[in-house]
Amino acid sequence: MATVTLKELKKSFGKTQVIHGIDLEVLDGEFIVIVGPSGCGKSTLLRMVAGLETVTDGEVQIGGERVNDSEPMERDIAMVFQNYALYPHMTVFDNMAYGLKIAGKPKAEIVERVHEAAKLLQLESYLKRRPRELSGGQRQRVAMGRAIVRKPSVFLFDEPLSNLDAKLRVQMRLEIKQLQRRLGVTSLYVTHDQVEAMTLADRMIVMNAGKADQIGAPLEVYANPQTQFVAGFIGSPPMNFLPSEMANDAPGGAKTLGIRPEHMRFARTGKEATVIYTEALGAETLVHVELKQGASATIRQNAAGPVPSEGAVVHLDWDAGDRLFFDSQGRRC
Amino acid sequence: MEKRVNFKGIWLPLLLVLPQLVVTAVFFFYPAGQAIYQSLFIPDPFGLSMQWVGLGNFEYLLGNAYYRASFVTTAIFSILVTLVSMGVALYLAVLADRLIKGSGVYRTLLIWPYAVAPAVAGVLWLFMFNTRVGVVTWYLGQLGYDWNHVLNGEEAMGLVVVASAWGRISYNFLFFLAGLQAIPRSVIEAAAIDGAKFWTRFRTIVWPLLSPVTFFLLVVNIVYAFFETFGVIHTITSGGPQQTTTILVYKVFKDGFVGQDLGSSAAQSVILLVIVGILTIVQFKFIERRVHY
Repeated sequence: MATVTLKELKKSFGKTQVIHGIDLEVLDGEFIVIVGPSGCGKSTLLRMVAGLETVTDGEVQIGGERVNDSEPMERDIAMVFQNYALYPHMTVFDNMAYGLKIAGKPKAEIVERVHEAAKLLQLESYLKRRPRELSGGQRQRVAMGRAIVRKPSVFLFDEPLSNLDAKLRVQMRLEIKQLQRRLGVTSLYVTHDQVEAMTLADRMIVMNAGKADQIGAPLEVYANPQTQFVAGFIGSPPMNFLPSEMANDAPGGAKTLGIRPEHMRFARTGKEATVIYTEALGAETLVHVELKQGASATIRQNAAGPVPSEGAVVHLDWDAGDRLFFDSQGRRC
Repeated sequence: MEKRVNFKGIWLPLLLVLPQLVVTAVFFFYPAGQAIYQSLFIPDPFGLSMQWVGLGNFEYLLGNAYYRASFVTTAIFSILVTLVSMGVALYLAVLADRLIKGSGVYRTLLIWPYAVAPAVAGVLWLFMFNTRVGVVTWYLGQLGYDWNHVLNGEEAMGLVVVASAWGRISYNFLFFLAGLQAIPRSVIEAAAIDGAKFWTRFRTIVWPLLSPVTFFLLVVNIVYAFFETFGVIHTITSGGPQQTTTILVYKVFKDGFVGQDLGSSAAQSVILLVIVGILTIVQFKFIERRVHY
């Protein structure tokens, strides 16, 4: 168990700066999700905490101690990789026992701890198999098992679910959450999937081009995004962005008006729009419309309600309190 | 995915494989058959008459102390060449694998020796170690060591081993480097996080994952040391001094073309043929079983 602190953390590859100073305080036992599009530097950030990348500037602290120059093995961390990085020539048991063997733990303790972890992850009947004889989900579990047997003070996850199919991903997501709750280990989790971020995180960091645009609890970030990027990235379907002139009372400097799809509704009067196409998802229907001013928007309509047909002219309305305004830099105003 | 082409008749496919069959027949089956046939006779040096001796040539060879000594020499020579060329190649490949800047230049330079023909390589080494004008000999002399591979059998063996291994390092290096780069980076990183230092990682992760490559190279290098080092031996020592560097292949040449004992030479060829056969079977039998993943 430990806290993780990042202070003005920066990283450059040659002359290209990829991380532009990140500050973060992770509490003991907290589940932090780092989310962002590919190439935003989120994996690099995690690898710097792991000690797999050198720190260009700033400081990484684990448990209050500066670890900038420590080897990965000295940081008391465990990492789960996107491709699992299992040792292909070893059995599941040996994969999980590897770290303990190197640490020179007595054999009885190794066997006990591996079995304990295997039981937790329902891997007991697979201990003698090699990774290639396992399914994707089982390999994922072995990678998790390898992380938990060592009882590290910090877990690092680098997109651990992105190689799984959609159904398994949802299931493993739940398992990871439960496991983390039960073990209470501080965790940093990198993903590009905002649903994973929303469901797993105690707090999330939304990264954009090497900067942390916003750090906060998922629902707080969802309801109160600090930048247009965060507003557009978190939430599916993404927030609608309209020109600010569509509101009569836009604050000065505002350029864009943002409204979530679920906050738009059809009304008798309001902004006129043409339905381009509709996507019926069962419980809800997404209605894509084009407004007269040339902007497009998506409306999330409960399937129980009326759904306009494609090509129909509709009127849109929304509550003034659901509007968000962004300036030309993409900042809230 | 397997792509199969279906031919209607028999003639076109036959025609297509014919060139390969002809090459194999002319350059392998015919000479091999000749060798087996000749090994059962003792011809006179002028090739005018042949006397049937059955397995007499083989009996004579196996009872011959020189031939048995040549077996031992070949074993020592092959093991040393294989160990030196693979060991050095692996070391260089590990260094090159860690290298980021200038790796292209480094690799290109390391591949060059492979392009040098064995006989030429032999001459290069011969000049460097020449007992009178060799530059290495001179420096060794300055250090107080009197190098003379013409008289000293162990020095001669050392020299032909180094000369044979040298050109081979490039080839092994390429395979080892490819093998190392095929190991996913994240596996190495996972091991590092698990607490394994460089040497432990190498021993427990890299080496086992490299074993298919290593085994392949082992067989290929032994075959090389057995058969393709003729040029090096011929240019540097001609099998001497006192037969200390006469490996089996060289003895075939010496007994047959220098000593004109064609029957014995043919019998030796047949024995070598059997050895290659065994090595090939070993390679095909085990190479798949030894693959770790």
